[in-house]
This record gives sequence, structure tokens and C-alpha cells, in this order.
Amino acid sequence: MIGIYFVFQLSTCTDSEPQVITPAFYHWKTNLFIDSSAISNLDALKVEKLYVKFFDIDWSSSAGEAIPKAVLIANDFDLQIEIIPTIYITNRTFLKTDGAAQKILAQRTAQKIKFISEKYGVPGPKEIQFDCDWSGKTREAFFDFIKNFKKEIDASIKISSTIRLHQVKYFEKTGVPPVDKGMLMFYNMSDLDDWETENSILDLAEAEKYFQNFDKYPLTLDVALPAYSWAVLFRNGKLIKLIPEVKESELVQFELLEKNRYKVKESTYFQGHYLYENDWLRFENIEPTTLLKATSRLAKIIENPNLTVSFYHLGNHSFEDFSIKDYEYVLEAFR
Amino acid sequence: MFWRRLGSGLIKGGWVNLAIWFAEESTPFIPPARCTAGGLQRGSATAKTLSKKSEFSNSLSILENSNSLISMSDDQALLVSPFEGSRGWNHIKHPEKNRSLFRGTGGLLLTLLFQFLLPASIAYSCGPMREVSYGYSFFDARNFVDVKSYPQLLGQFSGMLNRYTWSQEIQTNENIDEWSGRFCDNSTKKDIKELVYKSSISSLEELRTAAKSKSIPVPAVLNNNSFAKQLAGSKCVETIDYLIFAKRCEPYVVKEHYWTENSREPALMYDLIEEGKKRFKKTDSHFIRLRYAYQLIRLAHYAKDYPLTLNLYELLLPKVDVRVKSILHYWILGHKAGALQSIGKRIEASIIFADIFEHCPSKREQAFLSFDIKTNKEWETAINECDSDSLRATFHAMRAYNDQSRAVEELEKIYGYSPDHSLLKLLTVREIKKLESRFLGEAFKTKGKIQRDYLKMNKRDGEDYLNRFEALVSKIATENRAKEKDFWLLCRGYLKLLKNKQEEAKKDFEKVATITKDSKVKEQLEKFNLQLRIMNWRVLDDDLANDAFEQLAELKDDPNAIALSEFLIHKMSNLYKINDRPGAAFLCEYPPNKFYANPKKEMLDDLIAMAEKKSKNRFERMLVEPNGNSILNELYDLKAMKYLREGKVAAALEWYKKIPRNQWAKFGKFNSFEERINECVNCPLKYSTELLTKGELIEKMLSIEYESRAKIEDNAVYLYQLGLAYFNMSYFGHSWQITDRFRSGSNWYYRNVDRVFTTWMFPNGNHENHDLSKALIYFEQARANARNPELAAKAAYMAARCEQNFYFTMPSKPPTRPREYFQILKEKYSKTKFYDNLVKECKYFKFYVSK
Repeated sequence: MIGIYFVFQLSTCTDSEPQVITPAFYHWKTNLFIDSSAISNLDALKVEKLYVKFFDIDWSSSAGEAIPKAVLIANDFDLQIEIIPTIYITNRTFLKTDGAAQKILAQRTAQKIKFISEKYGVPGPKEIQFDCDWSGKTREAFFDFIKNFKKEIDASIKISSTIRLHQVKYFEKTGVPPVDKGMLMFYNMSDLDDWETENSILDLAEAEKYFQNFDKYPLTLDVALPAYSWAVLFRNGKLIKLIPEVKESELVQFELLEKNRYKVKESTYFQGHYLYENDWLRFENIEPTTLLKATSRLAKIIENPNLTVSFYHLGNHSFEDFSIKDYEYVLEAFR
Repeated sequence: MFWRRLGSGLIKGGWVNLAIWFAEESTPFIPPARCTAGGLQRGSATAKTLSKKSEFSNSLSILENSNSLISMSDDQALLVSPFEGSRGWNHIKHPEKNRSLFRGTGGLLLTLLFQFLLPASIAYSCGPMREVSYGYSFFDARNFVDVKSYPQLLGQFSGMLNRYTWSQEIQTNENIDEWSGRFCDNSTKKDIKELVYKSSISSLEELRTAAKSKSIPVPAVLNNNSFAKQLAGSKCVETIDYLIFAKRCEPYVVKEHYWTENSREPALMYDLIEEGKKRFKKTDSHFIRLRYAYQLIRLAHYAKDYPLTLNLYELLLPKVDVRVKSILHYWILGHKAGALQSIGKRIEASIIFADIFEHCPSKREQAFLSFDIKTNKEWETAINECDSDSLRATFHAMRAYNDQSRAVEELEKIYGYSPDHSLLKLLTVREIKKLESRFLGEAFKTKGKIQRDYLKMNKRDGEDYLNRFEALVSKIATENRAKEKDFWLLCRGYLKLLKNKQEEAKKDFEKVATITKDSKVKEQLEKFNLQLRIMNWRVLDDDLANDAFEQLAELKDDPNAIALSEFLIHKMSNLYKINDRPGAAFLCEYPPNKFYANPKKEMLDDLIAMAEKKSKNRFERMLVEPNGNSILNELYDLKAMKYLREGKVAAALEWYKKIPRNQWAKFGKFNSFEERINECVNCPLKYSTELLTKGELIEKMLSIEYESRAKIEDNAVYLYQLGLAYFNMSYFGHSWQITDRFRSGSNWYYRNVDRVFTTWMFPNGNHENHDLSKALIYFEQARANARNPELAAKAAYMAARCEQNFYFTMPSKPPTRPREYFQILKEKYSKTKFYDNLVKECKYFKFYVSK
């Protein structure tokens, strides 16, 4: 199926210059342990980069300042892959952090990245990425933080930032971060905490509304694509939590309400989480064909001759839900 | 060299992810937050940002489909209930079958509800003024549980302290209490805290020297410290040695700053452990021995030597007299459990954590956070291994303790195991507070996400849940297995009240009244009874209104009766509404100035009638005589303003005359006849301009109007003056305050239906006096009748301004601007001085005429 679709896509390609595509993955867990099977799959896919979340930064009301959380613990960093330290910063951090504190935060962040890199033997990074869904209220603070951070590191290190779709469409309002390039996050598109949402991860119809101003956007954009699944847990109609890396086959113990939607018949532990009778679960994943279709559409508006395509994220099922071929087709769509 | 400007003093790694178990003898600390394995959820905000769906459209079904909360039911009573019997629930489609469940009908009810459920309605209500409303909460948790012992559990309902701050404080306080008790309360706790937590090693060493010597005094820095003096005076060298040792341990056990890396040297920690073991052996006091044991076990735990941690526990604890009662037993157990968990013995660890959770307030939070059962099998094994039903009940209590839990299932188990378990009552109180929040809380008063989250729940499940909870409470109240029958009956009655089963609730409350001797129960009962009474107010007459006023006055000074006050006010507002008293209903919820920006006729007439009444009841007086001063003149002024806007000048004057002439100046002085050619609404009037009251200006308008009709052959000047008056009194003129109380500059370029603009500031919206039709008529007549071309040119120009402002505020603008009067100016008055000046001053006009 995916092959047929791919052939169709090729037939609609233009005769523009082929792009250099660099495959990559995100690693978003706190514990970094990549088994030999995953390593061989990464090799087979010729993955050259791994965006590793080193830590989160969040505002702590008890500490009265921004603090690092979920700091990376690595068992083995002996990978022949470029490691790109990635830092997630909550929006509220910049709501609470003023000018002087921002400078200190930038210094501390640089020191922390250096420490973790040295601790695990990561070679000096060529790129560092920040992930922050800044808003109108935090834009200036986030941009100032990046400027301050640049002063703390060697000039040869590139700084990148994740970019949301709406930040491209409305870039004149939302601003453009002072970074060397952006990583367009092509997922998390619909309202996660609305039970009625079909699939919050990828919704091409929703994405279409934001395919504007790509030709005018001042930053070179790489692309992050979804390759994950989860179960969204609702209790009393309210989103309670996300249960990551769930396979739909594991949900058979629950009552199927309709496609992708389940009800807990009897209270039970599930993947370490205690679920109560009458809880609801919405299973969300990405089918390879769906991703290819979305990617083919996206490829038409992304112009980057040296494009990095990073899959979010490297997990236990990354090469079960998607085969190497599936990933290759997706990458090929950008060429 | 990839890095620049980074210090080189970073420390070797090794202390990543220490167990949550922290407890400091000598320095307070803040325990770390427990992070999920994956850290923060990435990108979830994006989904919200991207979602453009209405947050409001399908969120209100619980209001639409039930007679819940405060709504007008068939008998026009004010109800307080998520549901009553089956009405409103049976016809609801279930989400499992159709996810469009949440789309319902009932907009009228919604409109009614939200008319008086908006937050501002509380903040400015006529009764006890409050800044913030948290919704209806009639059940006062503080009456029944020690909320300070369970900050997380009840924090959200009782404005508790930050839980980490609390945790830190309670640990310190419990420890100081023990030291104080040990030393016969001869020293102040403040001094004990100072010495134990803040003194330096050197000052302690000097203190030791003083304790051993007959002549050396207590060191100067401790000279005013009663505990230091007591230790020195009593020659407590053993205690001082321990404090010095604890200070030396401190660098290895105190949580470091979040951003700094760990500098602990395991070798030095082992040295301290060895030294401590020797000191332990030599120590006579079992109180101090226990503290040495704690220091050593904690050092081993922080050194990540889990076998050593467990060995030390086995080695040292048997050598401490079991009669020494101390919280340190639990602090030590915490480290043992942490070590067990780290070596994979999670069940054993969880049993210990449950024990600590139940018995040790200072470590309750950490025990809860560390408790970790992952599978059904682990749970069953742990339950079987618990050595008492009380501990088994605690297991369920810990699961229920999570704020997101469906606690009724756990409460049933707790009651089964241990009917008088301390957490049964506490968790019951929390569930009642949750149900209040769910059905009566602020979610109903705010738009947006919170509301949607709460309201988009499975209603059938909500009903089932409440029924199941009520059944459990009823069982506890009637089985006589648990103490405090009055409390359980009171809870049952309130749950019935939540379901609007008023008669059943009343019976329970009557029963409670006969059996209780508890003053807190009595206090709560009094409030429930008042709530019931208010719910049953039906006929709005003077007796009821006077009663409402008296109740409100009584509640006003009771900080725990805010919800009842609000409820009473909303009830009165609702009664006024259904009795066709819209003005009174409005003033129940808002102060008069919220009404002035758009005084609706029916409200204004109602309020004037009420304010003019000679024999007002006390509630009415409260509404129209706030602070003892009648608002009647304000209302007359508003009435006159309305007529003036409509061009009914004589009618306006008649209303104005109702205000004593000597008070006219209170409503400001203006001059609407002053000519102003430029567009400046807020520029001051000329210094020489004579200022008149509104009443005088109205009289002058009438006089000029008469002159314009009387001197019909030479009336252009009068007509021009009237045009100026109407223009200047409009939204676009310098004297707009004659016909309006509030003007928003942002409303210049558009017009709403009836010229009313929605704003958060005024519930009725803000009416803008955009109407220039009268002004335009007068300017045109003045131009047509003028014998003096200069006057005609000015009138034409002013008419052009009317024309332009009319265009600005058109809802849909035509492609070309109307320029009728610019054209007239150009064609007929180009030889006037006014025209020449206009071309010089007005670039826009110059551009027009040059075309």
C-alpha cells in the first residue's frame, strides 16, 4: 500500500534539484539506553543525528527560580551518531524570569549541557536545540535567553529552535527566534484534552490551515515528524495523563467503545498506572501511510537543500510500528 | 574548545537521581519534585494553540440537561443539585454510543445561569464584597479535619501552604519538639532551632570546650542562646559531640542547588560512617544513639551503598532502646525503604512507606511520592504481606490520596478493613469538596478550558459515582462500626442536598441535631439549615426581603460563610428576575456603576420605581441606598440622558427637574455649544467658555429651539448652534458626557447592533452615542437657511464631519466614501475665508479639492 502511494507521489514530483536528506531521531526519555537492535536499525536507516533531551527547564515555585528537571541518565553514549543536546523549556519559565535571572539561566543552562556532555563523553556538540512554545508574553524573554546563551558558548555551535506551525503562519506576530535554523514540529496538531479529538498527533486537515508563509519565513527549516503512539487517559471527562508507547493490541483487555476508544471495565494496573473502572482511553498512533501522505504534502512547501528529517521519538516500538522501508519512503518524499 | 566562558570547576558525576528520601538534622532542605520518567510532556501546548475549536460551544451540557445548580425549575425555585431523581439524565445520549453527547440544548437556561454566574457578579455584588469567588462551597473542611497535616490532600480546597514549604517546616518543627522534650522544655524552641540548624562547627566546638571546663564561658555568639547555656551548664558533651558530627555529615546529605553538580566524595562518607559507628558504641544516651544511627544510615543511602544502608539498619537499631519514642524511627525507616526500592524490593519498600505515611506527618509527602506499586500482582502480594488491616487500609488510602483518583472505590475498602481509620474521614471530606467543586464550583463561573474539562464529563458516570459515594456514607452512618455517627449523618444529609433531595436531607439534619454535642458539627448544621431555607424561598414579598437582608447582615462578618452569602444574593436576584424586576435583579449582583454604561429602559424604570417607593423594605434600601445615600438622582440623570440622546429635549428637562436644582452641578459642567473644528474629543474647552450644568444646557437647547422656530426668516445661527450641541454631545464630540457615562475610544471605527458594545467591564455592555442624525439635520438646515456664506461653509463642513463619522461606523462600508458635503463646500463655498483656512489646515480636504 505504502509502495503504491509512494509511486504515485514520485510521479507528481517536480524536476527540482534533489535535496540532501539527513535522517535523525529524537530521544525524549530521561534514561538513555539504546539496545543493540535499535542501534542496528539506526545504522540501517543511516541515521546521522540524535536529538537527545538533556533536561527540562521549568519554573519552581518552591525554589523561586527556574530549575532543571528530568535530567538525562545515560547508560551508554558510545554511539557513532552526532548527539544534539536538546532542552525543553516551559513557557511559564519565561513568564516568571526577568532580565537578570535570564542571564543567569543562560549561564547555568550552558554549564549543565557542558557537564552532561562531559559526563557521558559526548563530543563537543555542533548544534544545541531549544524547544519552547513561546507566546506573545514570553517571546521577548525566550529570544533574549537565546541571545544570552549564545554568549556562553563557542560561536561555532549552531543554535536551533523548534518551530510550531502557527509560528510560521503568523511569524510577523509571533516573531522569529534569533537562532541559526528551526525545526518544524509537524505533530501535536489537535486538541489533546478534548475527548472528541480523533487524533491529536497528526491531522492533515488541521495542518493545511497553517501551510502559509513558508516562502517568507526567514529561517531555514528542518522537519520533525511523528513516529509514536500513546494512550490518552480520561477520567470524569477530563484528561488525566498520557500513557506512552502503548500498542493497541495491549488494550484488548478493555471494552472497545468505538475505533481507538476504550473503557476500563474493572479497575486495574496498566503499564504501571492504576486505572479505575469507567476510565476512558483514546489510542493514538500514526500509520505509515498517513505519515507519508502528510509528508508528501509538507515536502512541497519545505525548501531546504540540506534538510534534516527527525522522527519523534526513539522508543521501544520505533521499529515495530514503522519498518526501515516505511521510514525510507517518508525520507524519500522530501527528495 | 567548544565552550567559552564556562568555569572549570564542574564536579565529577555520580550522584544522579538520588532517592526522594531526604531528611536533614542540621539544615532544612526542600525535597525535589518527583518527575515522570519522560520529564515534561513535549509540545502539548501546541495542540492547544493549534486548536481553533470553540471552547465554549459544547461544554455546558450539564447545565443544559439537568436542573442542576441554580436554575429556575418548574416551580421557580432555586435548586442546588446536580440532579434530582432521573429527570434530566435519562434522555442524555451516552458518550460511549455517541460522542456528541455534550452537544445539547437549553440555551435559555444557560443564558439565565450565566447572567448571574459570571465572576464579576460576585466580586461586586451588593452584599459582602469579595475580590474572588471560588464557587459554592457550603461544606467547611476545616471543621472536620486537620488540613495542615495533609496539605496536598486538601490544599486545593483550603488555600494551603506550598506543600514543600510545609514539608520542610513540619520536619523541622517535629525535630525541635523532640529536642525540647528531651531537655525538659528548659530552653526555647527558637534557641534549639538556632543551635541545631544554624550554628557552625567552630562555635559548637567552643561550646564543647565550655561544657568541659569550669571557667571557660559559652562562646559569645551563643551567649544569648538558652539551649547552648543548658548544654554547657549540664555538661552535655555527648550531645554537643553529636551535633558537631551531624554538622560534619551535612555537606554529604544536604540537597545541593538544583543547578550545581554533586560534589560528594564517597570515600569521605565512608570515613564518617566508620567514625560514627565508633561514636555510636561509646554513646550512653539512646536518644543520641538513635540520631547517630540516623546519620550513618542516611550517609550510606546517599552514598548509594544500599546493602550497607540495610546492614547498618540491622546492626544499629537493635542497639537502641526500643522505649525511645522518636520520629527518627520513621525517618530511618524511610532510608531503609529507599534502599530496598533501589535494589528492586518495591513491595517491601511500599509496605514501609505506607507505615510511614500513616504515622509520620513529617515524612508523609515523601512516603506518598515514593510509594510505587506497578502491577495487580504486586498489589495483591503487598496487601497479603501487610501485618494489619489498618495498614491494608492505608494502602488504599495512599492510592486514594492522589488527587486524580476515584476515591470511592478505595474508601469502600478502607471502611471494610478499618472503619475508624483516620484517613477514612479525611478522604470523605475531600471527596465531598471535590463533588462540590465538580457540581457547584468555579468551573461554572469561568469560561474556557477549566469549565470544559469539568463539564465534559460522563454525566451518567457522575450520577453513579455520587450514588455510590452516598451509599457508602449511608452505610457508615447506619452500621455503627465507625465512631462519630453525627459526622457521617451530616455528610449523608449534605450529599442528599447536593442531589436536591431536600426532604431526605432535612431529616438527616434533624437527626444530627438531636445526637450531636460537637460544636463544629452544630456550626456546620446551622449553615446547611440556612441553605435549605434559602432554597425554599418562593414568594418575594417584604417579609422575605427583610429576612434576606437580616441573614445577609449576619453572614457578612463570617469569613466561612462566603458561599452562603453568594447563594443568598443569587437566590434574591433570581427571585427578582422571575418577578419582572430586572433592575433589582441587576443590583443584587452588581454595583450601580456597572449599570450606567448602558442603562436599559426596563431596568431603569424598575430601579426608579423602587427608589421612589416611600416604604421600601430593607433589602430594597440596601440596593438603592448603598452607604445610606439614594441613587435616585443618578437614575433621573440617566433617564434624562436617554431622552436627550433621542432628541427629546423637553422630556429630558422634565426628568432633570426631578433633581433639585442645587444638585445639578454634581453631574458636571459642560458647554455643548462650543465650536470645535478639529477632531479632538478630549481637548479641554477654551478657558473663556462658560460652563453650564446639564440641566442648564437642556434649558438653553429648548430656548434656542424656540428661537429657531420663532425667528424663522433668520434662524441659521440657532440651527447651527443646535447642530453643534447634538454633535458635541455625541460620541464624537467634546461634551459626550452629557449623554453618556462611559466612552471607549476603540469604538470609533465600527458600530454594533443598537450601538451596544460587549465589554468585560459592564454586564449590559457599553452603549456609545454614535447617532449624529439630529446634528446632520440641523447643520443642513443651517447651511440652507444661512445668509452669511461663512456660516453656511462652516455648517457644510460640520455636516461633512457627520457624514464621515457615519461612514466610519457603518457595519459594512461601501467602496467609496460619501463626499456630498465636501463637494458642496467645493462647489458653493470656495470663495469663503473658512474654505481657504480649511484647505490650509486640512490636508485631507486639500487632497479632495485638488482632484
